[in-house]
Amino acid sequence: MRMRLAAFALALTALAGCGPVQATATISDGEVALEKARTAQAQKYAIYNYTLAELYLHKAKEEAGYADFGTATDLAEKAITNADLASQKAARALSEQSGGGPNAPVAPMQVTPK
Amino acid sequence: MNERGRLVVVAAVAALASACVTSGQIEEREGVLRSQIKMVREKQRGEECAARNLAIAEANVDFAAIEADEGYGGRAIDHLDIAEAAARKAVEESKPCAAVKVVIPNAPKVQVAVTARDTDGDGIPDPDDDCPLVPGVRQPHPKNGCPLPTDRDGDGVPDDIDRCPDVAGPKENDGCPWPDRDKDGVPDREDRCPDVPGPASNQGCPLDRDGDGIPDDKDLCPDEPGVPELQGCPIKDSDGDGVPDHLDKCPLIAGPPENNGCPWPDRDGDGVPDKDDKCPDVPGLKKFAGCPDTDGDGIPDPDDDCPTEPGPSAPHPRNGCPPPPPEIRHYSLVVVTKKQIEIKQQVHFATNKWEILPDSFELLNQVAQVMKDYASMNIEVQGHTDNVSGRAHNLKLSQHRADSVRTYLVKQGIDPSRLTAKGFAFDVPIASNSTERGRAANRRVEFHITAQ
Repeated sequence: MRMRLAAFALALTALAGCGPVQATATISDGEVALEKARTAQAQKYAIYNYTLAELYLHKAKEEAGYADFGTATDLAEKAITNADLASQKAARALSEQSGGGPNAPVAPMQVTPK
Repeated sequence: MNERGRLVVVAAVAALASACVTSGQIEEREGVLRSQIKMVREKQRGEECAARNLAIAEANVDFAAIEADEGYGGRAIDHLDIAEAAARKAVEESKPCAAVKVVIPNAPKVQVAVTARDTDGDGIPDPDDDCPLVPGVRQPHPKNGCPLPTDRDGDGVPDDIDRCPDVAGPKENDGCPWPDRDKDGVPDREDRCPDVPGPASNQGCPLDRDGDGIPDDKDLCPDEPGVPELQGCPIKDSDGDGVPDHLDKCPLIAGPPENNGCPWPDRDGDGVPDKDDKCPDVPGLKKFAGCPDTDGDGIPDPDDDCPTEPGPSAPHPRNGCPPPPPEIRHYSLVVVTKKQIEIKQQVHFATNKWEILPDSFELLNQVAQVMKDYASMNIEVQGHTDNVSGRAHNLKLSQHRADSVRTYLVKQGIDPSRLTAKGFAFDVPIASNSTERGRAANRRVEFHITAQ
């Protein structure tokens, strides 16, 4: 009987610890992704996604502070997604600007009669 | 239920109703905002033209929904306020992102308006824009539409790679000026005197600080005027002997230039240097070339045949020696004393006259011989009388008699300059004139030595 109680308490403790651990890890991953985006000059060349990533990560930390670990994890994942997108876009933009030249992809042109 | 309980229930119901109303309002605002955001993003290319505000609006709408779900209406409204403000800005910012009309001048009859995208809004359509996502200026390919690298300090190093964008500097130093501590315009790395201003022509060193005409780089004493012979250092003469220290072998002891500024040696310490001292080991007198004159006879010892006995100058071997003792003569009629030549007889004259009688010649001859023997002896011949007759007569008589004796001695070969004659009458008696014997003694001639 005593052994069963101990096992139950241990399982409860483990489950309780899952939320914060996962949220913290995801937030940490988000910070890394955001730093990569910053290094890729995403503030300049992928402003939209970079800003989203920043805001989601900030909110994720805020929610973690309120012990709402589930929401914090979701927000951190969104931050990671946007940070990765921002990095890719910035890299592409830089590539177009430096080496792309005439071969770089251009925006579609609309031709309309006057 | 008492009155108080009723009030609590009413308040709770009111609060719940208020919450429901707020929740409904939040959802409504959220829906409006989401539509606005969708329109901006899809119709007005909001992600390109209003990226930041669009993102802020989107994110805050999401956050409002989360907060509302969790029952935090206040926080949800705060987020919606932020989202609304950002969405308004996004709408404004995305308006200029409209299509651009491009006129093709070479097609006058069939004018075609071409609208092309200008993603970065720099007025250069994307097909011509080498940097379509970054606003730039018109310039030749491959930089058309790209931002011009600025160069605020005009040093030829673009600001983006210029570590000192506001101060001109060479490319080798990343656009920063080379350090120049002394501000002389010569960079420290080329400045041989980086802490002292100097012209570039002198590699940044001052030309001649002490103004002695010797450039500082060759001046051992750059702050003291000097001479070229001393590499710019001043001439010093510490002992004041006129020989500059750098040439003076004895810079602290005065000495003549002939001996390189050192004093001549003087072994005997008599003040006459050895080189001029005929007696360098015996103290002597300068007038005798450093030799002594022991007997003080005016003849220095080396020349003095009798250095310890005074003597007159004479040929060798008697130079400086005392005169030889006179030949020992036996003067039978005279005696030479310290003061006079005493005569053993009277000089006889004719009565009341001054003619010398012949019997006195031998006596006077001996007096003359004494004077010859003593060559330096001078004599005063004195005439004396008794008191018979008057004084004037006797004075005249005594003077004539003294003169007569003097004349006789001169005739015997004595230099007249060695002889004087003087009559005293009866003024100096040696015996009583009251007796004949006394008067006879008073009538006399005396030979007094005036010089030996």
